[in-house]
Amino acid sequence: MNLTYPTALVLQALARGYHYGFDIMDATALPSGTVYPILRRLDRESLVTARWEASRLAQREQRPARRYYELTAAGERFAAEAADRYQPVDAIQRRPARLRPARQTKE
Amino acid sequence: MPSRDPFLVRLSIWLLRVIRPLVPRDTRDDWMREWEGEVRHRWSWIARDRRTRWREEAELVRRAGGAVSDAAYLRREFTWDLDVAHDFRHGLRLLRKRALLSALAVIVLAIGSGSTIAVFSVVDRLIVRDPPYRDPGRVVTIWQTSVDTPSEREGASPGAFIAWRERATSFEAIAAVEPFSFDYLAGSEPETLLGGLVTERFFEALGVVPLLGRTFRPEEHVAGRADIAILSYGGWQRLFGGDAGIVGRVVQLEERPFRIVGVLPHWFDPNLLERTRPREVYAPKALQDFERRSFRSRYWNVVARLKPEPTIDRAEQELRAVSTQLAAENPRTMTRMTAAVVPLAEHLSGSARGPLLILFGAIVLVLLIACANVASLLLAGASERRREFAIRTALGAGPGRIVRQVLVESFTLACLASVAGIIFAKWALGAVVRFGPHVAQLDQVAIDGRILAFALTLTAGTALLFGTAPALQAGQPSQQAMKDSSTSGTASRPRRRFGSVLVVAEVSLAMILLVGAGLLLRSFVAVAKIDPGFTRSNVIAMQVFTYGPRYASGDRLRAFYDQALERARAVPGVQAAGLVSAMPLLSSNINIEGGFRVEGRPAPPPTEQQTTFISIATGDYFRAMGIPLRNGRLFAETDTPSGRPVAIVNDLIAQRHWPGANPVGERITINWQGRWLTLDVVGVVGRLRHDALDREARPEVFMPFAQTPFGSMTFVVRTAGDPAGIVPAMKTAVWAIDPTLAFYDIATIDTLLAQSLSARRFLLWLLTGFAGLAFALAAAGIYGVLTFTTLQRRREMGVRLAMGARDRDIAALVVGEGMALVGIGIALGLLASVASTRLLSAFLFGVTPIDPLTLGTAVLLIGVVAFAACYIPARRATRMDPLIVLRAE
Repeated sequence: MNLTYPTALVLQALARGYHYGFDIMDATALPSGTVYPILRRLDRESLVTARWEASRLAQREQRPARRYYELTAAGERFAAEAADRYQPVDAIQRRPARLRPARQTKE
Repeated sequence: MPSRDPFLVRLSIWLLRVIRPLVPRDTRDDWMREWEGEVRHRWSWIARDRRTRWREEAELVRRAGGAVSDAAYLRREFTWDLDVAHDFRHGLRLLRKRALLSALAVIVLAIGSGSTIAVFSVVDRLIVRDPPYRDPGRVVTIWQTSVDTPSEREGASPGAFIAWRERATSFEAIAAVEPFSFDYLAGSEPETLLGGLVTERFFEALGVVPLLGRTFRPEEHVAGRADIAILSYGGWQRLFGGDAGIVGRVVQLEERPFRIVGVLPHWFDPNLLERTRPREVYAPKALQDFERRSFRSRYWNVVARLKPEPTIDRAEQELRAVSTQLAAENPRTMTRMTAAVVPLAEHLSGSARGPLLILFGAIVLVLLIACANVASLLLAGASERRREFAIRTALGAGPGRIVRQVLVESFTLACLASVAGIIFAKWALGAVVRFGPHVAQLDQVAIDGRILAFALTLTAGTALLFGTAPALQAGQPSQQAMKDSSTSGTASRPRRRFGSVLVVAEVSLAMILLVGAGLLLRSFVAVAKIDPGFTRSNVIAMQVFTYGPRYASGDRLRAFYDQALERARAVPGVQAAGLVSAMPLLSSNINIEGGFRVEGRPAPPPTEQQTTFISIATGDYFRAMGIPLRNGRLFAETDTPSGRPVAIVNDLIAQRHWPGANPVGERITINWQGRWLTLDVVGVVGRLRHDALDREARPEVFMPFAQTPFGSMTFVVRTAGDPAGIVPAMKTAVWAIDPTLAFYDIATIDTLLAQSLSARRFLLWLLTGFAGLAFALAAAGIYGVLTFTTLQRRREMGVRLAMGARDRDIAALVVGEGMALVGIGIALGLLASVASTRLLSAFLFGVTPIDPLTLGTAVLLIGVVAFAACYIPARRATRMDPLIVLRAE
């Protein structure tokens, strides 16, 4: 799979514990139209696994379950490679998921 | 639950619902669940914190809208479609951006594929596709040939046909058609309809079912009962306006009533019997006794339907055996005669078959070169785009993705070219049908579904052919390419070699075709300039046949023609009106050849008997035709039936028999209709080219019509103005005397001359087209290759410019490189054309295949155009700013 800059960002976000689509968007400041196709591609290449969150949580909030993405072992290796290749990825800081990140990391 | 949702959630969910159908069906529900889960989860979060609410809300809707990209991605992954569409749009954008290059590529491909489509549709109709007759594989035509010249097929004599029909067992049906013409008086004016008399089961043997009515029944092929007729589709339309109630109608033909029993379908054109115009009427033939013994004149055409088992070879063997029997029975007329069986399909495509296949091969070759050309143009383009590809690769495009994009671009180009090509093909086909020689079924060639399918395949094929090389090259951009801010300093060796070979090959091909076209043009001009021995304009010929009881005696013939000529001379605009039996160039010319002797000289041995063509004429014939009188006088009023028999000879005879002397006053003996006549030579006239402009004149003796009245005559009228304009008045003049007389053929001298040149003109036209095509290809090829190499050498040029080279030097560098290749191409082309124009020698006239003027002109023409093609990239090279080029490195 091709390692583009946005892909590297998404990988890094996953590696740092952002597991839901919207959370990854918050972390990377990438639009939903970029993040989701990358997740689909990672999924297809078996670099991430996806599963539904526990239905208990969803029922409590009276909404459908969210989808939970997690790096596989191969995904971990790929993410490390990405971190080597693209230094700017360090721009992602560990921060509360729902805070809107600053604009400077935008492609 | 939805009713309690706040507006923004509802809006987001609504957006997702709108987008949902884009997602492939099997993942659609999961997709919706995932997005709804995220949106609602986010909302529950937003709802808790009131401070940043509006920004979060806006972001939520924005993200929900972004689901369209996700859905599109899934759909694209599913089908690939959107990507290809994207590539297609990208391709079109690029084409627009590089308009000159693209236009060139499209034109080159359009002409290449258009000609291929045109030639293919002819090949398909005439050779590949079955003729429309029922079960055509079993239909054959049968011809008589001589054992000595098996390739020269002749029609069958009535006797041979009858013997074949009685003795051969290979056929389900075997039938013949005899040429016949019908005088038709019921139309607006009397006319002669061409047609045929057909023996039993003729239409069944061919396998044609009438459009209307029926065919003839066996009991109708009996003398006295043959008062029925079948019309061709054309005849039905022309004479009866396509009257649906024609079957059963009674029509006067030959002053006898004929009942129409059927109409043939429009495609019926079995290419039988010599045809100067379409055959319109068929009637049943009743075999006559004498025909069983008639072996000499082979003027019938025979078709047969094989029984299911026998092969064509078996049938031919059987007929040959019958021919051997016939030769034994009729040694005088049938010795060394045998039979040839030709499948209908092969007969229909006729002599066009070989040339067509060669033509098809040639045009495919031209198309291949066109593809190579476009490939080289695209390669030039691709090298400019190396950075684009490198960037795309860095952004995540795999090699496959890039290859696909370039291929889609090629396909876009090929599609545009294909559309233009089909239009070109349609136009070219129209021209071929109009100006080309007559070939059966040719007028039915059309661009239909099959041809479009072929065009589509061709498009895909050409796109692959010319797109693969650039695509593969684009698919492997180096890391280096991204760092390079310009293209590399020198072109890679294999690619330059490819370009050089292309230029040399194209130039030599163009050279061959150009020389061929030039030679044909020179021949055409030479033939057109030939003096036919008569005037070229303001003459009209109107042929009539006067037979039957009304014209049974010489006196009656004389009376009719004298009166007719008198009235013709009174027609306004007529300057001279004469009569002749053998009008030069007229298709149904009456050629009579007879023995010739000079009286008072010893008779030559029988093997060296002299013959001459004999024509009957009036004195005004020579005046009307502008035939020069070399000596003596023309025929005059004094040459009456009771006077001394006289003759005029042409100067060919005069030279041959009285070299250097005047034959006027000498006496000759000629054999006319089995009798030897002794005649006084009273004049010598110029020789005429009777058969065609490029065929030699023949010896000819003229006898006065008054002394030898004859029934097959042509009025030859010279006019002050347009000769076609006097036709109505001439007809009125003749019909005042005999209102039932039909004119068999009417033609102006201009048309006759043009017709005699038409085959030559057609070939010239075709080869000139090909030469122009090859020429354009060569120019485009030179331009493309040089543009490419010049770009590759940009840095070198920049350095040279910086070191003090002047524009002139740079231009000379580029032009020099191009012209060196052109020079090699011209030299090879010259050698090849000298070797190949021998193929054309049959069509050459008045020029040798190695004609310095033609060769020189071709070299000059190619040189000039090639120079122009080199000069454009050269100029572009000189316009570079060395600083910019160098700084860019």
